[in-house]
Amino acid sequence: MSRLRGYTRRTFLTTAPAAIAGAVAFPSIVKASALGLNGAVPPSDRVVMAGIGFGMQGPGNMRNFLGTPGVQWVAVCDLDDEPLKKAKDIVDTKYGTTDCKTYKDYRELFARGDLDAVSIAVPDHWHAILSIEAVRAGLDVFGEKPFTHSLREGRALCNAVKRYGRVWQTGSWQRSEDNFHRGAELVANGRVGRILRVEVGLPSGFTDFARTFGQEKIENPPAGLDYDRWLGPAPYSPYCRARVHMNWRWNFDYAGGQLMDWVGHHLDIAHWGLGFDRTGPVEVKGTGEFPTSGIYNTAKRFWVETRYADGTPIIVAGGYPEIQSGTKWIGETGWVWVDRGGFESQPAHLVQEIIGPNEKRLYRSRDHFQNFVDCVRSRAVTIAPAEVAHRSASVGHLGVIAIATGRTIKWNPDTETIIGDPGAERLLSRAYRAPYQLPA
Amino acid sequence: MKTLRILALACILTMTSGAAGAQTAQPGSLDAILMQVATWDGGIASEAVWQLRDYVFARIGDEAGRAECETKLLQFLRGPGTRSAKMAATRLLREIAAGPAIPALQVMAADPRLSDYAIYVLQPMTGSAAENALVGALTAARGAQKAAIVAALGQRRASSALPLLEPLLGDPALAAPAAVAIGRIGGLAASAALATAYGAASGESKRVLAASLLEAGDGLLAAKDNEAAARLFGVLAADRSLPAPMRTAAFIGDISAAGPRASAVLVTMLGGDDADARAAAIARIGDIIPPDGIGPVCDLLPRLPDAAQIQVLAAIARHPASRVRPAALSAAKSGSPDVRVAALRTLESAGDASTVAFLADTAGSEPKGPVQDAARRTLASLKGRDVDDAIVAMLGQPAPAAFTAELLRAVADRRIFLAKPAVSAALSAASPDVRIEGLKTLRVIGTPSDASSVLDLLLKSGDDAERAEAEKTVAALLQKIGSPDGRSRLLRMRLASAKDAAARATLIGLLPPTADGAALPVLRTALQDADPGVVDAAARAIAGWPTATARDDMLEILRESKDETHRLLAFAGLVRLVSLDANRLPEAAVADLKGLSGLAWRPEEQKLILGALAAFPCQDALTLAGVLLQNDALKAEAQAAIDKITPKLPKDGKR
Repeated sequence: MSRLRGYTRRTFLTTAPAAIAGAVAFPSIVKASALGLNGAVPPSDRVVMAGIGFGMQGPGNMRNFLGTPGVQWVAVCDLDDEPLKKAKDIVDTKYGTTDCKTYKDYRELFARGDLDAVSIAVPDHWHAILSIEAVRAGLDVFGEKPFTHSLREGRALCNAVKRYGRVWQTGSWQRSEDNFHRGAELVANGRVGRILRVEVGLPSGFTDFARTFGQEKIENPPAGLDYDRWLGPAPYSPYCRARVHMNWRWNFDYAGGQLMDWVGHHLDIAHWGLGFDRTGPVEVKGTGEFPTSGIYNTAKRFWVETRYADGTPIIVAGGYPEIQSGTKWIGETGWVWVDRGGFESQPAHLVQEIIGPNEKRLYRSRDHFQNFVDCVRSRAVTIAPAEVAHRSASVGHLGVIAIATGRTIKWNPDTETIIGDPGAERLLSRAYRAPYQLPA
Repeated sequence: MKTLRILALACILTMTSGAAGAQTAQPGSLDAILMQVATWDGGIASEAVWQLRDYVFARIGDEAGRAECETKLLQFLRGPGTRSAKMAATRLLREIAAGPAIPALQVMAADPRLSDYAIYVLQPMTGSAAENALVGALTAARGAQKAAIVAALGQRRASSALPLLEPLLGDPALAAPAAVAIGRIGGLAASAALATAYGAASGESKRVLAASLLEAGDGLLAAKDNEAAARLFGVLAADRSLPAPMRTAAFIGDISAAGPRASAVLVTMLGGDDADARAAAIARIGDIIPPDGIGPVCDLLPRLPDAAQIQVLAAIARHPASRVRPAALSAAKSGSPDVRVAALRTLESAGDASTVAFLADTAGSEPKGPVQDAARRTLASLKGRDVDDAIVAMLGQPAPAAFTAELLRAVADRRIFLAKPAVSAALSAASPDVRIEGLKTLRVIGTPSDASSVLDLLLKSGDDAERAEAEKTVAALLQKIGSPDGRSRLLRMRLASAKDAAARATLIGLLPPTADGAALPVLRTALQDADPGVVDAAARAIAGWPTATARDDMLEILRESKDETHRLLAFAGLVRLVSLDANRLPEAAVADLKGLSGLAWRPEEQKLILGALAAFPCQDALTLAGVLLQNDALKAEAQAAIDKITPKLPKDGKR
């Protein structure tokens, strides 16, 4: 099973003659990093990409990359035949060919050896394993939020990204939008004075993304879906339609509900404006309301209060009308609020203010996908790198733990340890179902 | 079937609570809840699971209650419940299990039927007792259970397990999970065991061991044992049979392990011919090279291949500007446009006042494209008041037009308000390009008081492009007057004194953006002017007026004008006014549109009505579209309107 793990172009070419034939079928595709890093090929050459996971964010991300200059998309990978075929069709239609290769096993995809980068959009419980394997295979990664399924996985993935010197971009695309950038920059420049409180409003309840609510009858998985592998490191549960595609998000075995889904957006933006990108809260407490039937078990409504080392409180709430959707920084002299399509302030004129070159400027990206591709070429840090994504997700993980234990969590963001609560500490990681293991 | 089910439930109850429990389980008791949970198939009928959760969570703070839950959940796992039921119990046990549960969990961890549950609980439990239990279970376990325990011990970084894990490196079935676990545990002994195994390994095993060695090496670095880490990374870096990403990682570790010599090691790798080493060096420049140590990297820059230059330029951007600037300036003159762009980006942080002239010259001389864009962006982003001062000072000097135009653009981008005298002066420059750029800049930094001089330029210019920019600038400057009242004052004064008809027509054309009602009487008067150009400008200004204040004037033109174009413009203006307020009652808007429809004299005007109807979905809109559908010339547009309106109609008759 792990036979293919760790292959790269070089080893692949020397050990996999059958696959070489496949490579020969793409004579025009030259791995930019293999050549560009050494300077033989101008970096304006194509970045060769593939995608894993096409049941939710994958197709959208891929379409964005297909529209990004300099990207050559060569393969798609999914455990389910149906989304896999649809993904291939998108690529083939775009290029007017039938060349896009399909894979059900990501290890075979990584073994191609011609990839520069991979876009991963799979359920959360697969994020860390897949991503560590990817960076170990020398690939740069565009990964989805939340960064990982547990806090300990997050640190392990950050370490792996650094260890292998890879470029990482998280799908926290709001950072590349003008209103979020401007809002965070106003706060970073003290336009509303010292920040007294931040309110982060997230969605609540469950969204029936896959239109499978109620389809909780236990049945055999469809023939085209490798369900056991879909479960992967998660505890065993029998197949039902409501458990898998898209609506996996409402089950703690695979995700963390609305809180974990959105913390990588609006809380991430809150961190940005406050300069908390590489730290975390020192105290977290919270409450949640859960379903009373069915297979979903994440919080439908939640209220998480955090406090940071400088005393700044951030409230993260879903389902509380008093907390407006989006990010609201409330300072001594006014407030700034941003949301998708929204940007307001008090005083009102702040939103018109331009941050000049002599003030504090935050990283500027006008296109999240282009930013990733640019950084793959330049090896520069992206606008949403691994450490930043991990710190945003950490707040959600700690919120989930605080809600589960009903206790106030004391957190040391430097050592990433819970202080004085072994019961809570155990929720920082998860055991993997055999034979799965977090890779080195 | 029913009998069988009852028998099964009785059996479960017996297993979970003892024989007596079958007779004594009270409704709502833990026994009764577990009996219900035991048959859960993992599907929708999960009420008992939620009951169990509530029961257990309610007792977390009560030691006796917690202990009861712990005991009975453990019993439950050993009973005949379904796999889903046991996993549900395990999830709860994970949160509440304490020391007394550990011996039972140890036994279960080695049992193929129960191992998943026990490991799920034991792996994250803090304390040596849980670790000892996993170590103890390791010996007894077999096959997949053993691999899972190995992985769990690795996750826990259980150093006490090393003596048992090391021999597993020789077991083909367990070597990979053991290597990962040992690497994660880390330390000298673990590293030595991995290194020994690595020496004898090949193929995929070798790569797994290499990855584990890399993790162990990082562990040694974290423990400040750089010497041991360096030895380990050195072995991997020297192994050219390893995949490139792993060698690069080894070089990255090697740089970190070099401690005070890290910069020197990095520079050597950067300047060498090993591609994996160079990739490692580039990846670490940002966090290894100290601020005062970037010199050697800059010195190497011109000798690197273009792609590497681009990457190094990105990496050095945050280092001290004084040292990076000369290297970036030099690279900004490279023959490769990509290198030039990268260098210009680096100058965003490394540039200063002395860079202004170079950037303006580059932006002015490069053709439209990425290099010019980068030069402009960098000129806009340079930090420092002295940069602003330099730009202003250069604007006062004679210079090529393209150069001056770029400086003016930078004034706008940087909001250099102090540059206004120079910008105003640019309006009378000989070069139209400079004048146009000056107009654009004045829109950003100017005030309403500047509008007069722009009007002068507008009225005397014969260049259409320049006139268009001047009109935009006047409009933008007058918009800066907070209230519409008085925005048109300057224009009205000029109109009053203007003798030339063309000038008056131009001034009239500038009135609509002001939305100042005081201008409407002027327009009405102008409609009676003897000069047809002035009349035309006035009619167009009224038709284009942005607010409903001009509604009656538009109607007047529609009814009275002899000019077909003016009538059509007025009609379009009236339709636009109806659509201005998207929040008004749809029926009211449709009534206005119906009234206008009665004034239409050709199908073309009715098409405008149909185009606007869709924004106000209601029964009246549908009726009006239905009437117009009868007109053969309007069939397509009417049907399109109906198609748009119908789905938006409130289904229950309410909004």
